[in-house]
Amino acid sequence: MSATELASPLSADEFRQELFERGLLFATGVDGLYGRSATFENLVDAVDRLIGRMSTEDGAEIMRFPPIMTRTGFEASGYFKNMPQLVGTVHCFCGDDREHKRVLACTPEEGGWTAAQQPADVVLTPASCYPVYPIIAARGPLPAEGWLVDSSSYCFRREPSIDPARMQMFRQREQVCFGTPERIRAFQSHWMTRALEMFRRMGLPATTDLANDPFFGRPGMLMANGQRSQRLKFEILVPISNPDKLSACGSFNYHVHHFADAYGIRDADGEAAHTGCAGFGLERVSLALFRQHGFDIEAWPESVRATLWPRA
Amino acid sequence: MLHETVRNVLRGVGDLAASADTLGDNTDLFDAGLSSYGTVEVMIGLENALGIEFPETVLTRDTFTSINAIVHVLERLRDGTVPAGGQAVDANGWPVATETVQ
Repeated sequence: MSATELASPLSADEFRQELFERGLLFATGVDGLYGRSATFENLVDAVDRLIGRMSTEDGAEIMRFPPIMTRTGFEASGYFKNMPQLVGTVHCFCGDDREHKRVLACTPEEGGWTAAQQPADVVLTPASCYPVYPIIAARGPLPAEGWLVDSSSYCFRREPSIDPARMQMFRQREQVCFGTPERIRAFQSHWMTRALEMFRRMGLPATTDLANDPFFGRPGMLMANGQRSQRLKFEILVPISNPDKLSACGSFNYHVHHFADAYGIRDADGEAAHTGCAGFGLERVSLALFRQHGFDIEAWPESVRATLWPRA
Repeated sequence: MLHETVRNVLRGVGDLAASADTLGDNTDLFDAGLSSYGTVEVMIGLENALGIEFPETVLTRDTFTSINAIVHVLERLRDGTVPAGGQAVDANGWPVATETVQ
Protein backbone atom coordinates (compact mmCIF):
# COMPACT_ATOMS: atom_id res chain seq x y z
CA MET A 1 0.00 0.00 0.00
CA SER A 2 1.42 3.39 -0.95
CA ALA A 3 1.94 6.18 1.54
CA THR A 4 -0.94 8.21 0.19
CA GLU A 5 -3.45 5.43 -0.31
CA LEU A 6 -6.01 5.16 2.48
CA ALA A 7 -6.48 1.90 4.34
CA SER A 8 -9.82 0.16 3.73
CA PRO A 9 -12.69 1.14 6.06
CA LEU A 10 -12.98 -0.76 9.35
CA SER A 11 -15.30 0.32 12.16
CA ALA A 12 -13.86 1.26 15.55
CA ASP A 13 -15.40 -1.84 17.12
CA GLU A 14 -14.06 -4.15 14.39
CA PHE A 15 -10.61 -2.59 14.62
CA ARG A 16 -10.52 -3.04 18.40
CA GLN A 17 -11.72 -6.64 18.10
CA GLU A 18 -8.93 -7.36 15.62
CA LEU A 19 -6.37 -5.89 18.02
CA PHE A 20 -7.69 -8.16 20.79
CA GLU A 21 -7.87 -11.30 18.64
CA ARG A 22 -4.34 -10.80 17.32
CA GLY A 23 -3.08 -10.34 20.89
CA LEU A 24 -1.77 -6.81 20.29
CA LEU A 25 -3.94 -5.29 23.02
CA PHE A 26 -5.46 -7.11 26.02
CA ALA A 27 -9.07 -6.36 27.01
CA THR A 28 -9.66 -5.46 30.66
CA GLY A 29 -13.44 -5.11 30.59
CA VAL A 30 -13.20 -1.32 30.76
CA ASP A 31 -13.41 0.67 27.54
CA GLY A 32 -10.25 2.66 26.96
CA LEU A 33 -8.11 0.63 29.41
CA TYR A 34 -5.94 -2.02 27.75
CA GLY A 35 -2.91 -4.15 28.34
CA ARG A 36 -0.18 -3.98 25.70
CA SER A 37 1.67 -6.88 24.07
CA ALA A 38 5.42 -7.05 23.41
CA THR A 39 4.78 -6.31 19.73
CA PHE A 40 2.67 -3.28 20.55
CA GLU A 41 5.24 -2.00 23.06
CA ASN A 42 8.04 -2.53 20.58
CA LEU A 43 6.19 -0.28 18.13
CA VAL A 44 5.39 2.36 20.76
CA ASP A 45 9.07 2.38 21.69
CA ALA A 46 10.07 2.76 18.02
CA VAL A 47 7.71 5.72 17.56
CA ASP A 48 9.04 7.29 20.77
CA ARG A 49 12.64 6.85 19.57
CA LEU A 50 11.80 8.27 16.14
CA ILE A 51 10.50 11.46 17.78
CA GLY A 52 13.70 11.54 19.79
CA ARG A 53 15.88 11.18 16.69
CA MET A 54 14.00 13.95 14.87
CA SER A 55 14.50 16.37 17.77
CA THR A 56 17.93 15.32 19.01
CA GLU A 57 19.61 18.48 17.73
CA ASP A 58 17.18 20.74 19.62
CA GLY A 59 19.12 20.20 22.83
CA ALA A 60 15.99 19.95 24.97
CA GLU A 61 16.23 19.06 28.65
CA ILE A 62 14.81 15.56 29.19
CA MET A 63 12.07 15.16 31.84
CA ARG A 64 10.22 11.88 32.36
CA PHE A 65 7.29 11.65 34.76
CA PRO A 66 5.15 9.03 36.48
CA PRO A 67 1.43 9.19 35.60
CA ILE A 68 0.54 11.36 38.60
CA MET A 69 1.39 14.95 39.37
CA THR A 70 1.04 17.24 42.37
CA ARG A 71 -2.46 18.41 43.19
CA THR A 72 -1.20 21.97 43.76
CA GLY A 73 0.40 21.99 40.31
CA PHE A 74 -2.75 20.58 38.78
CA GLU A 75 -4.99 23.14 40.50
CA ALA A 76 -2.79 26.02 39.37
CA SER A 77 -3.11 24.90 35.74
CA GLY A 78 -6.84 25.67 35.58
CA TYR A 79 -7.50 22.26 34.02
CA PHE A 80 -10.47 21.49 36.29
CA LYS A 81 -11.97 24.87 35.41
CA ASN A 82 -11.73 24.08 31.71
CA MET A 83 -12.19 20.32 31.37
CA PRO A 84 -13.62 18.83 34.60
CA GLN A 85 -15.19 15.95 32.66
CA LEU A 86 -11.75 14.51 31.82
CA VAL A 87 -10.11 14.70 35.25
CA GLY A 88 -9.04 11.66 37.27
CA THR A 89 -8.32 12.29 40.94
CA VAL A 90 -6.52 10.09 43.47
CA HIS A 91 -8.30 9.35 46.74
CA CYS A 92 -6.81 7.46 49.69
CA PHE A 93 -7.92 5.91 52.95
CA CYS A 94 -6.66 7.95 55.90
CA GLY A 95 -8.68 6.45 58.76
CA ASP A 96 -7.88 4.12 61.65
CA ASP A 97 -8.87 0.48 62.43
CA ARG A 98 -12.33 1.48 63.50
CA GLU A 99 -12.94 3.53 60.36
CA HIS A 100 -11.57 0.67 58.25
CA LYS A 101 -14.08 -1.76 59.76
CA ARG A 102 -16.87 0.75 59.28
CA VAL A 103 -16.27 1.28 55.58
CA LEU A 104 -15.85 -2.46 54.94
CA ALA A 105 -19.36 -2.86 56.33
CA CYS A 106 -20.83 0.00 54.29
CA THR A 107 -23.46 -0.98 51.75
CA PRO A 108 -23.08 0.20 48.15
CA GLU A 109 -25.79 2.78 48.92
CA GLU A 110 -23.64 4.08 51.80
CA GLY A 111 -20.67 4.40 49.50
CA GLY A 112 -19.15 0.95 50.08
CA TRP A 113 -15.42 0.78 50.71
CA THR A 114 -14.99 4.24 49.18
CA ALA A 115 -17.10 5.91 51.90
CA ALA A 116 -14.08 7.30 53.76
CA GLN A 117 -11.73 7.98 50.83
CA GLN A 118 -10.12 11.42 50.95
CA PRO A 119 -8.61 13.38 48.04
CA ALA A 120 -4.83 12.94 48.05
CA ASP A 121 -2.13 15.49 47.30
CA VAL A 122 -1.66 13.98 43.83
CA VAL A 123 -3.90 13.66 40.75
CA LEU A 124 -3.62 11.72 37.50
CA THR A 125 -1.60 13.66 34.93
CA PRO A 126 -3.80 14.97 32.07
CA ALA A 127 -0.91 15.91 29.74
CA SER A 128 2.81 15.29 30.01
CA CYS A 129 3.66 19.00 29.87
CA TYR A 130 1.71 19.82 33.05
CA PRO A 131 4.33 18.61 35.58
CA VAL A 132 6.96 20.64 33.69
CA TYR A 133 5.63 24.13 34.41
CA PRO A 134 6.00 24.24 38.21
CA ILE A 135 9.53 22.84 37.91
CA ILE A 136 10.59 25.54 35.44
CA ALA A 137 8.83 28.25 37.47
CA ALA A 138 10.70 27.23 40.63
CA ARG A 139 14.06 27.82 38.93
CA GLY A 140 13.42 31.56 38.61
CA PRO A 141 13.69 33.72 35.46
CA LEU A 142 14.38 31.93 32.18
CA PRO A 143 17.67 32.35 30.31
CA ALA A 144 17.51 35.14 27.69
CA GLU A 145 17.12 32.62 24.87
CA GLY A 146 14.27 30.78 26.64
CA TRP A 147 14.17 27.05 27.41
CA LEU A 148 13.10 23.77 25.89
CA VAL A 149 11.98 20.58 27.64
CA ASP A 150 11.38 17.11 26.18
CA SER A 151 8.74 15.51 28.43
CA SER A 152 6.97 12.17 28.53
CA SER A 153 4.38 10.58 30.75
CA TYR A 154 1.43 8.26 30.85
CA CYS A 155 -1.65 10.51 30.83
CA PHE A 156 -5.25 10.01 31.96
CA ARG A 157 -8.44 11.34 30.41
CA ARG A 158 -11.88 10.10 31.44
CA GLU A 159 -13.17 9.38 27.94
CA PRO A 160 -14.32 5.73 27.89
CA SER A 161 -14.91 4.65 24.29
CA ILE A 162 -15.03 1.53 22.15
CA ASP A 163 -12.64 3.33 19.82
CA PRO A 164 -9.21 1.86 20.60
CA ALA A 165 -7.67 5.19 19.57
CA ARG A 166 -9.48 6.88 22.46
CA MET A 167 -7.78 5.38 25.49
CA GLN A 168 -8.24 6.49 29.08
CA MET A 169 -4.52 6.02 29.77
CA PHE A 170 -1.94 6.59 27.08
CA ARG A 171 1.59 7.93 26.65
CA GLN A 172 2.48 11.38 25.43
CA ARG A 173 5.87 12.57 24.19
CA GLU A 174 5.68 16.32 24.40
CA GLN A 175 8.17 19.11 23.77
CA VAL A 176 7.58 22.24 25.86
CA CYS A 177 8.98 25.61 24.78
CA PHE A 178 9.44 28.73 26.91
CA GLY A 179 10.33 32.15 25.51
CA THR A 180 9.09 35.07 23.44
CA PRO A 181 5.89 34.95 21.35
CA GLU A 182 8.07 34.81 18.23
CA ARG A 183 10.01 31.83 19.53
CA ILE A 184 6.83 29.94 20.47
CA ARG A 185 5.18 30.59 17.08
CA ALA A 186 8.37 29.44 15.32
CA PHE A 187 8.48 26.33 17.55
CA GLN A 188 4.82 25.57 16.75
CA SER A 189 5.33 25.99 13.02
CA HIS A 190 8.60 24.03 13.01
CA TRP A 191 7.02 21.06 14.78
CA MET A 192 4.03 21.00 12.41
CA THR A 193 6.41 20.79 9.45
CA ARG A 194 8.58 18.23 11.24
CA ALA A 195 5.55 16.13 12.17
CA LEU A 196 4.27 16.02 8.59
CA GLU A 197 7.71 14.82 7.46
CA MET A 198 7.81 12.23 10.25
CA PHE A 199 4.37 10.88 9.31
CA ARG A 200 5.28 10.87 5.61
CA ARG A 201 8.29 8.72 6.41
CA MET A 202 6.04 6.37 8.38
CA GLY A 203 3.77 6.06 5.33
CA LEU A 204 0.83 7.70 7.09
CA PRO A 205 -1.53 9.98 5.07
CA ALA A 206 -1.46 12.90 7.53
CA THR A 207 -2.80 16.42 7.35
CA THR A 208 -2.68 19.32 9.80
CA ASP A 209 -5.61 21.52 10.74
CA LEU A 210 -6.73 24.23 13.12
CA ALA A 211 -8.23 22.74 16.31
CA ASN A 212 -9.54 23.47 19.79
CA ASP A 213 -9.56 21.80 23.18
CA PRO A 214 -12.89 20.28 24.34
CA PHE A 215 -13.58 22.96 26.95
CA PHE A 216 -16.54 22.12 29.20
CA GLY A 217 -20.05 23.53 28.91
CA ARG A 218 -21.28 26.79 27.38
CA PRO A 219 -18.38 28.87 28.70
CA GLY A 220 -16.22 26.23 27.03
CA MET A 221 -17.74 27.07 23.66
CA LEU A 222 -16.51 30.61 24.13
CA MET A 223 -13.05 29.41 25.18
CA ALA A 224 -12.86 27.02 22.21
CA ASN A 225 -13.86 29.71 19.78
CA GLY A 226 -11.30 32.11 21.20
CA GLN A 227 -8.63 29.43 20.85
CA ARG A 228 -9.53 28.89 17.21
CA SER A 229 -9.81 32.56 16.28
CA GLN A 230 -6.34 33.18 17.72
CA ARG A 231 -4.99 30.08 15.90
CA LEU A 232 -3.51 28.73 19.11
CA LYS A 233 -3.96 24.99 18.48
CA PHE A 234 -3.24 22.79 15.48
CA GLU A 235 -3.45 19.01 15.17
CA ILE A 236 -1.94 16.37 12.92
CA LEU A 237 -4.70 14.09 11.72
CA VAL A 238 -4.65 10.52 10.39
CA PRO A 239 -7.39 7.98 9.63
CA ILE A 240 -7.47 5.34 12.38
CA SER A 241 -10.78 3.94 13.62
CA ASN A 242 -13.35 6.01 11.83
CA PRO A 243 -12.92 6.28 8.06
CA ASP A 244 -15.21 9.34 8.04
CA LYS A 245 -13.47 11.20 10.84
CA LEU A 246 -9.72 11.63 11.12
CA SER A 247 -8.04 11.07 14.48
CA ALA A 248 -5.60 13.57 15.94
CA CYS A 249 -2.24 11.93 16.71
CA GLY A 250 -0.48 15.08 17.84
CA SER A 251 -1.04 18.74 18.61
CA PHE A 252 0.93 21.96 18.43
CA ASN A 253 -0.14 24.54 20.94
CA TYR A 254 0.58 28.16 21.79
CA HIS A 255 -0.59 28.98 25.34
CA VAL A 256 0.24 32.72 25.15
CA HIS A 257 1.02 33.55 28.82
CA HIS A 258 -1.63 31.33 30.41
CA PHE A 259 0.84 28.95 32.09
CA ALA A 260 3.28 31.73 32.88
CA ASP A 261 0.52 33.52 34.81
CA ALA A 262 -0.66 30.28 36.42
CA TYR A 263 2.77 29.21 37.68
CA GLY A 264 4.74 32.47 37.77
CA ILE A 265 7.12 31.65 34.90
CA ARG A 266 9.18 34.76 34.11
CA ASP A 267 11.47 35.63 31.23
CA ALA A 268 14.96 37.08 31.72
CA ASP A 269 13.45 40.57 32.12
CA GLY A 270 10.98 39.43 34.76
CA GLU A 271 7.96 39.59 32.43
CA ALA A 272 5.47 36.74 32.02
CA ALA A 273 7.02 34.25 29.59
CA HIS A 274 5.11 32.72 26.70
CA THR A 275 4.86 28.93 26.36
CA GLY A 276 3.93 26.33 23.79
CA CYS A 277 3.98 22.56 23.45
CA ALA A 278 4.13 20.00 20.66
CA GLY A 279 3.00 16.53 21.66
CA PHE A 280 2.28 13.14 20.16
CA GLY A 281 0.08 10.33 21.44
CA LEU A 282 2.34 7.31 21.15
CA GLU A 283 -0.46 4.71 21.23
CA ARG A 284 -2.44 6.64 18.61
CA VAL A 285 0.50 6.86 16.23
CA SER A 286 1.11 3.13 16.75
CA LEU A 287 -2.55 2.31 16.06
CA ALA A 288 -2.46 4.49 12.95
CA LEU A 289 0.49 2.42 11.72
CA PHE A 290 -1.36 -0.87 12.31
CA ARG A 291 -4.43 0.58 10.67
CA GLN A 292 -2.51 1.79 7.62
CA HIS A 293 0.00 -1.00 7.07
CA GLY A 294 -1.74 -4.02 8.55
CA PHE A 295 -1.31 -6.10 11.69
CA ASP A 296 1.85 -7.94 10.57
CA ILE A 297 4.80 -5.60 11.10
CA GLU A 298 7.10 -7.96 9.17
CA ALA A 299 4.98 -7.29 6.08
CA TRP A 300 5.14 -3.49 6.34
CA PRO A 301 6.91 -1.54 3.56
CA GLU A 302 10.67 -1.65 4.01
CA SER A 303 10.89 2.16 4.00
CA VAL A 304 8.48 2.37 6.95
CA ARG A 305 10.36 -0.33 8.87
CA ALA A 306 13.66 1.40 8.18
CA THR A 307 12.24 4.68 9.48
CA LEU A 308 11.06 3.06 12.71
CA TRP A 309 13.92 0.60 13.21
CA PRO A 310 16.97 2.11 11.45
CA ARG A 311 20.03 -0.08 11.23
CA ALA A 312 22.92 1.28 13.25
CA MET B 1 -28.64 51.68 29.67
CA LEU B 2 -27.08 48.54 28.18
CA HIS B 3 -23.73 50.32 27.97
CA GLU B 4 -23.82 51.02 31.70
CA THR B 5 -24.83 47.43 32.46
CA VAL B 6 -21.89 46.15 30.41
CA ARG B 7 -19.50 48.57 32.09
CA ASN B 8 -20.78 47.47 35.51
CA VAL B 9 -20.06 43.86 34.65
CA LEU B 10 -16.57 44.76 33.37
CA ARG B 11 -15.84 46.47 36.71
CA GLY B 12 -16.26 43.08 38.36
CA VAL B 13 -13.89 41.25 36.01
CA GLY B 14 -10.38 40.94 37.41
CA ASP B 15 -8.64 41.57 34.08
CA LEU B 16 -10.34 44.95 33.58
CA ALA B 17 -11.33 46.04 37.08
CA ALA B 18 -8.70 48.80 37.19
CA SER B 19 -9.48 50.21 33.73
CA ALA B 20 -13.23 49.62 33.33
CA ASP B 21 -14.15 53.27 33.95
CA THR B 22 -11.70 54.63 31.40
CA LEU B 23 -12.42 52.19 28.55
CA GLY B 24 -13.90 53.74 25.43
CA ASP B 25 -17.00 52.13 23.96
CA ASN B 26 -14.93 50.96 20.99
CA THR B 27 -11.75 50.10 22.90
CA ASP B 28 -10.51 46.57 22.10
CA LEU B 29 -11.10 44.73 25.38
CA PHE B 30 -8.53 42.05 24.53
CA ASP B 31 -5.88 44.70 23.92
CA ALA B 32 -6.92 46.18 27.27
CA GLY B 33 -6.07 42.89 29.00
CA LEU B 34 -9.21 40.75 28.80
CA SER B 35 -8.18 37.07 28.93
CA SER B 36 -10.10 33.95 27.86
CA TYR B 37 -11.17 33.33 31.46
CA GLY B 38 -12.11 37.00 31.75
CA THR B 39 -14.33 36.67 28.68
CA VAL B 40 -16.19 33.83 30.38
CA GLU B 41 -16.61 36.04 33.48
CA VAL B 42 -18.09 38.80 31.27
CA MET B 43 -20.46 36.33 29.64
CA ILE B 44 -21.68 34.91 32.97
CA GLY B 45 -21.87 38.38 34.53
CA LEU B 46 -24.09 39.67 31.72
CA GLU B 47 -26.29 36.56 31.81
CA ASN B 48 -26.83 37.01 35.55
CA ALA B 49 -27.36 40.77 35.31
CA LEU B 50 -29.85 40.60 32.46
CA GLY B 51 -31.46 37.20 33.05
CA ILE B 52 -30.53 36.05 29.56
CA GLU B 53 -28.60 33.16 28.02
CA PHE B 54 -26.27 33.79 25.09
CA PRO B 55 -27.02 31.29 22.28
CA GLU B 56 -23.99 29.21 21.33
CA THR B 57 -23.90 30.88 17.92
CA VAL B 58 -22.77 34.16 19.51
CA LEU B 59 -20.27 32.63 21.95
CA THR B 60 -17.36 33.95 19.93
CA ARG B 61 -14.45 36.21 20.64
CA ASP B 62 -15.95 38.83 18.28
CA THR B 63 -18.99 39.24 20.53
CA PHE B 64 -16.78 40.44 23.39
CA THR B 65 -14.34 42.61 21.43
CA SER B 66 -15.61 45.95 22.78
CA ILE B 67 -18.39 47.44 24.85
CA ASN B 68 -20.18 48.47 21.65
CA ALA B 69 -19.79 44.97 20.20
CA ILE B 70 -21.33 43.44 23.32
CA VAL B 71 -24.18 45.96 23.33
CA HIS B 72 -24.85 45.26 19.65
CA VAL B 73 -25.27 41.53 20.36
CA LEU B 74 -27.43 42.23 23.42
CA GLU B 75 -29.69 44.47 21.30
CA ARG B 76 -30.02 41.73 18.69
CA LEU B 77 -30.88 39.25 21.41
CA ARG B 78 -33.49 41.64 22.79
CA ASP B 79 -34.95 42.18 19.31
CA GLY B 80 -35.03 38.45 18.63
CA THR B 81 -32.76 38.70 15.58
CA VAL B 82 -30.31 36.13 16.96
CA PRO B 83 -31.68 32.58 16.69
CA ALA B 84 -31.66 30.64 19.96
CA GLY B 85 -29.62 27.44 20.39
CA GLY B 86 -27.39 26.28 17.57
CA GLN B 87 -23.95 24.79 17.72
CA ALA B 88 -20.84 26.86 18.33
CA VAL B 89 -18.81 27.40 15.20
CA ASP B 90 -15.48 29.06 14.55
CA ALA B 91 -14.80 32.00 12.26
CA ASN B 92 -14.85 29.65 9.25
CA GLY B 93 -18.19 28.14 10.19
CA TRP B 94 -16.71 24.83 11.37
CA PRO B 95 -18.15 23.31 14.56
CA VAL B 96 -15.80 23.42 17.55
CA ALA B 97 -14.48 20.05 18.71
CA THR B 98 -15.79 18.23 21.77
CA GLU B 99 -13.17 15.48 22.11
CA THR B 100 -9.50 15.58 22.99
CA VAL B 101 -6.41 14.80 21.01
CA GLN B 102 -4.29 12.02 22.51
